[in-house]
Amino acid sequence: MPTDASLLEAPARRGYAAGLGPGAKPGFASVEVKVLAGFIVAVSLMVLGGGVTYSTSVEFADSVEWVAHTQEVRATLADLYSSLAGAELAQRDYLLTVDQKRRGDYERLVGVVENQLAAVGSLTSDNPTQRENVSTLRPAVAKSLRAMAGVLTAYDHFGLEAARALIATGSRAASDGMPDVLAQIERMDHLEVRLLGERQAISARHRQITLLSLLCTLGIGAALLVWLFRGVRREMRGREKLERQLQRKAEQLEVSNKELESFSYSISHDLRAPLRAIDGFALMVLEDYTDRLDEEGRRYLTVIRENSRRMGALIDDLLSFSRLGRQPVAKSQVDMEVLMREVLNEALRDYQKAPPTVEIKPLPRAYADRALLRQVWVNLISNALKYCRKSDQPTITVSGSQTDTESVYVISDNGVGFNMAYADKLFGVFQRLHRADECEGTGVGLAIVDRIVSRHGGRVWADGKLDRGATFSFALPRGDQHEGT
Amino acid sequence: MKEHEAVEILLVEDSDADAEMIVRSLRKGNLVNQVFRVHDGVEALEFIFRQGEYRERRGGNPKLILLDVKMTRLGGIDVLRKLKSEESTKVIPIVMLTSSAEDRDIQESYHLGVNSYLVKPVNFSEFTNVVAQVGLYWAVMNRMP
Repeated sequence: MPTDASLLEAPARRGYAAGLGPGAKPGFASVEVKVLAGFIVAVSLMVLGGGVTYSTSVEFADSVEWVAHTQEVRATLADLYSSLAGAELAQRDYLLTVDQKRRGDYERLVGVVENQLAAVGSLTSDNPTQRENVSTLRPAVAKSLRAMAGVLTAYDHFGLEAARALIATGSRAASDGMPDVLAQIERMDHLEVRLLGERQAISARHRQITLLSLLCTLGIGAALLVWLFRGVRREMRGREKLERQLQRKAEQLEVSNKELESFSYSISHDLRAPLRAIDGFALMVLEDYTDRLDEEGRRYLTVIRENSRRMGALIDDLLSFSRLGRQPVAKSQVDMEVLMREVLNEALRDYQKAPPTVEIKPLPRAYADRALLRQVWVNLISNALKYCRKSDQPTITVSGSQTDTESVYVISDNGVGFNMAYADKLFGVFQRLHRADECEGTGVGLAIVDRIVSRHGGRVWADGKLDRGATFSFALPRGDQHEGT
Repeated sequence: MKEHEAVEILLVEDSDADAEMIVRSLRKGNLVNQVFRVHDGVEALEFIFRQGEYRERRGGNPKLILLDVKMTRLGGIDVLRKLKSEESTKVIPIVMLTSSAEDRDIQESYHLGVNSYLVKPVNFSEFTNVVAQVGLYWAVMNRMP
């Protein structure tokens, strides 16, 4: 006999609606996880690709700016030279025509030259070679401006001949500075042309990288979405197939259930007829031939009648058990305390021996089928009365409690109890833990309780110890939120 | 066919054992001389409508029909339907006797106008009392139009 503590303590629980419970979920959950993971990967890759594309496009924009900068330097250099040449041209025109407007042009262009020289200096300040070149260009420009100013001074004071002589000397000796300026500007421009080539190459490369990165990102994103879509579609098809199979199975199950029920019904029906004959004819013998039978003969016939009566009760129970599966459950608000007291009083009225002590604690209301719940109490109370009969001071306790989701009802006795090792057999049809001649009953009562409670979406369980009483509990889903549905 | 003349209770029952027990129960209510038993629905209709073997039957309708539900050839529900639909027989009190009560049968029987529906108890003493009282009530005490 197992006396393992865990076996003794663990309550026998019977879960219902197993097919709809958590057990059925993993398949669905894993699909959700897969889809979620797929989306996370897709979004991450697209964000990553977007980041790369953004940074390469920033570099591309930078390189474009550099190209523009180089071109600006070149343009400014060209402007500088053309302004300087323009200034010289205006000066010569003035000498020939004595047109004061041309002299004004000359003075304005000298100012422009100075500004442009400053602009070249600031534009090329980032490049050491060009900075050096600018430092060579600056005195050359100054020298040429000084030469022009000198020619004008000579003209103003000594006339045209003096100015012409000065110009001739200056260009012959190249002391007017213009060739130096031109040479220096050309040197600087060559450098900028080389830089421009390099920077254009860099810019083109950046443009390609940006384009490539953008295409990669879009490609990966599109591929992932396609993959995800196909995966989800495959899962959905699989699930639809599974659902169809499940539906078919459920239909088959329903059909075979109905067949089984009608089978057990007609079996029970057909068994009653011969049983009635056995009892009837045994009684006829007892009535008509009683004077020809001795005590033993009469006892045999009584045993036959007693057993046919027991079998009749068994068949009746089996019939009501079979009927339970077909009967619809009509739910309403049920005052369980009133119902339980009603059943208890009826049971105690038929009770032959000294009544047990009954302790009743408040019971929560239930949302259930009153007639079916009545059967539950009838069976549980008769069970408790039956098994506590052997106790010296029989006591029955009925109590109830409520959780967020369930109303729980508990009935305990201090009778013979049972070994927890056999607890799972308690609720089976024809499962008995006590011999029929030890305790009356058909072995169907608790199976009926089990079936009724499970048809309400509830659960039933038992706790007990041998010779220390038994406790039967059942829990029904709370009806508050279902009212009116 | 002299016995037919006095028939007040027609027992339609295919089980010999049940028939014997019912007759015995009726005997206890002193009604046995007025009982005639047929074996199924077909024979019952032949008896009532004086057909086949019962062409020559004299006497009127029985005062009470005890009708088993499940029988070979023709069942009790069909017999009930036929009798309650005929002007000449619809006032005959009919009591269904069955081994077990199936809701569908009970509902259909009452819909067709049955007068009473009884489940034969397994316990014979109970059975005897029930049958004797039913016979006494419908065949003796009840007044028909």
